[in-house]
Amino acid sequence: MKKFNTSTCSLIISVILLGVPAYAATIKGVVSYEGEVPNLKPIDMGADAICLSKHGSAVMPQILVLDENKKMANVLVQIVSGLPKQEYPVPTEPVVLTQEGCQYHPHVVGVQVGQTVKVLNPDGTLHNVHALCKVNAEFNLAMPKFRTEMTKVFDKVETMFPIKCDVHPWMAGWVAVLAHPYFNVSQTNGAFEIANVPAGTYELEAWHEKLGTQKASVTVTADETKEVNFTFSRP
Amino acid sequence: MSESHHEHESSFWKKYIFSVDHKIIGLQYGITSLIFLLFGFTIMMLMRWQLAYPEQPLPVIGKIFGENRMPGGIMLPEFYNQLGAMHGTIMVFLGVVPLAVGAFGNYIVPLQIGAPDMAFPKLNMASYWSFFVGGVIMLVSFFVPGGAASSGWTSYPPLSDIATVGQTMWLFGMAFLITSSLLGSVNFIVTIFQLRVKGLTFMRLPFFVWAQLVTSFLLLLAFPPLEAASVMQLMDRLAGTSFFLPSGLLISGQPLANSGGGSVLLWQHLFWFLAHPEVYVLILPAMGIVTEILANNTRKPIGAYKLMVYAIIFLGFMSFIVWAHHMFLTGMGTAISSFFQATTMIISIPSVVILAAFFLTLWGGAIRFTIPMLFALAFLPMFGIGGLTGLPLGLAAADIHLHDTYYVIGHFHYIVAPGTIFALFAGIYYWFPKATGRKMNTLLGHLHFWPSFVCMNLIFMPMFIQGLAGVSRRLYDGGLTYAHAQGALHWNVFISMAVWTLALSQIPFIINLLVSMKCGEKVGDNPWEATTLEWATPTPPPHGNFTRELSVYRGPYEYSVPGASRDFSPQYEEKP
Amino acid sequence: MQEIPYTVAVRQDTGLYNAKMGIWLFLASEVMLFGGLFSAYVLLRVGAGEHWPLGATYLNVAIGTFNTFVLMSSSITMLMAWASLKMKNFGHFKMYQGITIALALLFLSVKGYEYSMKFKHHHFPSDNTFLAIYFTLTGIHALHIIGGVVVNSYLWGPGSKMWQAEPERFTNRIEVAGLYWHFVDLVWIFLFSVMYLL
Repeated sequence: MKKFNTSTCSLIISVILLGVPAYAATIKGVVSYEGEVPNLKPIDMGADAICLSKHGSAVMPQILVLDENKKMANVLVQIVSGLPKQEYPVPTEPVVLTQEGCQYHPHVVGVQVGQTVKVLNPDGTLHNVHALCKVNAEFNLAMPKFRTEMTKVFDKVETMFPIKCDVHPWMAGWVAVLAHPYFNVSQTNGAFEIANVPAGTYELEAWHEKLGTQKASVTVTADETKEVNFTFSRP
Repeated sequence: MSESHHEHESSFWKKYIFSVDHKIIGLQYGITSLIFLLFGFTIMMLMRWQLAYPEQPLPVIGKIFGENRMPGGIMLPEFYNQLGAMHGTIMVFLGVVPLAVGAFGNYIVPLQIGAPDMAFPKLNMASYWSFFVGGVIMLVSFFVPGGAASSGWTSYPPLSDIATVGQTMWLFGMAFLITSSLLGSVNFIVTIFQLRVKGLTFMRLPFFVWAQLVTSFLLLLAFPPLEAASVMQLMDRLAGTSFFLPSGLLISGQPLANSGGGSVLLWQHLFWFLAHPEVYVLILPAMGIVTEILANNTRKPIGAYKLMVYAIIFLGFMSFIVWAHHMFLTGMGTAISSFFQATTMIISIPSVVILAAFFLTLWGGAIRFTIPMLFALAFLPMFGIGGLTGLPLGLAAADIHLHDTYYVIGHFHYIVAPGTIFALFAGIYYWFPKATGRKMNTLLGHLHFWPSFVCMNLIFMPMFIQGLAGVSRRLYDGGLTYAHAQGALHWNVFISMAVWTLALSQIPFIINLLVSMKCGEKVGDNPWEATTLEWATPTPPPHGNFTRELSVYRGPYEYSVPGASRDFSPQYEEKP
Repeated sequence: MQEIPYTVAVRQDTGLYNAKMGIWLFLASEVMLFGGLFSAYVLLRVGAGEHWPLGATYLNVAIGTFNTFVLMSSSITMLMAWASLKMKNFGHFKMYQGITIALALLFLSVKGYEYSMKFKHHHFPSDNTFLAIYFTLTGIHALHIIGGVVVNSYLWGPGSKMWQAEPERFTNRIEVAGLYWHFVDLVWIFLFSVMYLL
């Protein structure tokens, strides 16, 4: 924070004074799944007794998470074009990625370039965080049980690379590093919401790790809330 | 020539830093490699904390290593791996070999053959500075992103191909070290062949010179394949080739974007083609030093000198065709493994011949228990234990159980640590009076020797027990997470305690080395009443070594010759 | 202080002067270096089986043959340079040594042209193990050529002053440089047959 200079200050002030009223548009929607629900096998965590002990019932893989209404979680929706070219302030709040019960929570996560990612290991067992990035620098760092917290920063835009744990091969998470704050990951009820969008016409993209991407176009005016829904199905 | 002599006198830099005098270069090698030995040992002390008390913060100094290495003073596995890889690399390539070959070879060989200097003094200087640069690269690699090389001193691919940038530094460092040893070995061989003084035939060469000669041939011929392999690994890492990457390789479930078609075994073959002769590079100079000291302190000719010479030549030759006994578990098939098993058993014969000759030398000798002699005597059983425990590893069937366990660690450390390093200590105590004109202190010598001797055994003997129990090497927690290791883990604390005690018992040596240079007991040119030529020079020897014309009239170890007036008859003394 | 013996004169029992023995030992280690690389080639090729491409599919045999002759000619002129010194003809030495250097530079230019054509056609070392070993082997060989050019140029230029003071020692230097040069030539002949023809 010491590096605050007048230009960044004035930028933030102008954002607050001028930006906010015009940014009030919201894009929201629901992601649904259509078609037959595949029969996923529960994960066998028998290799690590600690992982096993964290779960009372069978653990389902996170590759397709649906609620009873077939609404899809873990779909990342972002604005891919239409935004004015500008630098967006980096949130000071870190994004938290927790390795809990030998799974990544959240399973899909979006961060802004330069934003801190805090990786937690409350499991009390050895994990290693292997980020298979292509644009950013790849890293593979161990988190033994004593190392409960670690922070990382990605400094280049890169959408969707996996983070894996080589100790527990079923563990996988996905990370998108974006230049702007206009993205959201769908909740367990399939809902997503991108708030404070400036008025304009945008292209949206919804991404799912197995079912690919979908695009949609949307135009919003100030103070408007537009609904855009996505539906995925197996090809 | 008198002009250049004057120049040497006038400039400090030319005399002590960029010197072409083999003795100064020998001392440069000696000081540098002793520092590296201490550094490699310190690395090991850190690792032993982690093994004895896994995941507990290292008291007092733990925090200084930073969040990327030891957050809160607790060692991260990545850092443990770096330390493990660099301990091996530093001890072998920057510690023991430069001390045994670079330091002792440089200082003693030209003196023992009556030469004014090495055959190529400038190459000699280049060899040292190449070694120095290689060492600096290795040290700097600890501070690059991701830290130093962490794929073990063996750098097996595919792991090393995809490792962090420290591995690239390791390869560049090795290139300098290989260049250094190449320049050195050419120089040694030419010096020994060409610069022997009149009358010094091959069968009159001190055994130490023989050992250095065979060692130089091993370095000359075994290192280049590793250089080839290093270049290929660099290409894999920097140019995206697939020399060591097979097709269809997955990393964390992701297919690797490379052409494939390579072979990981190719690296292992090229690496061990160097690294097995390298084992003999580690031990042969030590045997040479021990021979000199045994003969001198038993006041007897060495037992079966000629047989020892033939044995060491045979040993050097055989060491080129045993390398695949490091690879029994790679699925090479019974025919090939039988071949390497047989050669491995055969190579133990000359080693036993040499060891037996050592014991024969002791038989009936009037032994002087000087400090160098104590270290040399300790070498014999230590090398014996190390050698004998190697036999089960050379048999493919037994190796399946023992491969990559602490048994292997115990085995080769018995040869290198209380074996070679003790011989090197012996050499330092033995030749110190020649280099400085003063003797090292005997009391401090005893304080150095006895605890070191006890600790070495307390460290490495339990490793055999751990290894037989199946505890694998290279585990950052010492085997904590393995059920079968539980019964042998309590030894970890015991071993670590012994390691730290061993460190304390090096303090008398360091004090002795530094203080004796200024305050040691002053001695003459031949304080040990030895027979070989290095004792015929003034002390310390001037640039150019000998102040009078010499000829050699007899063998190297003519002690207690019947009818002679003294119990030693130097090589340069004419027969009556 | 004593002089180091046998820097110029030949030692009776070995029949060599120091530098000549040194260069033979150095060449022995070079044999092991290229031996390591060639055995890597053999292992990779055996491992690849039928997938190994014929050298001619990537490489231009005509250019390779031309370069082989260039290098072999330079070996001959190198020998002539040494012979000229033996016959005490310094002028001829200058000429032959100059031709040797020129031929070596020609070889390097042709090699550079070959490389640039590969890159132009998007053939890179990372494409397959054939190209990988081709670039590695020829690259290391080219480094040896460059080293030879540097040494030969020194002996042709400033280093040749030694001819006035110590003609015998200078002749020995040319002989040693020549031994190295013939070795580099020999490696190329192996390389050419293995990479281009087989």
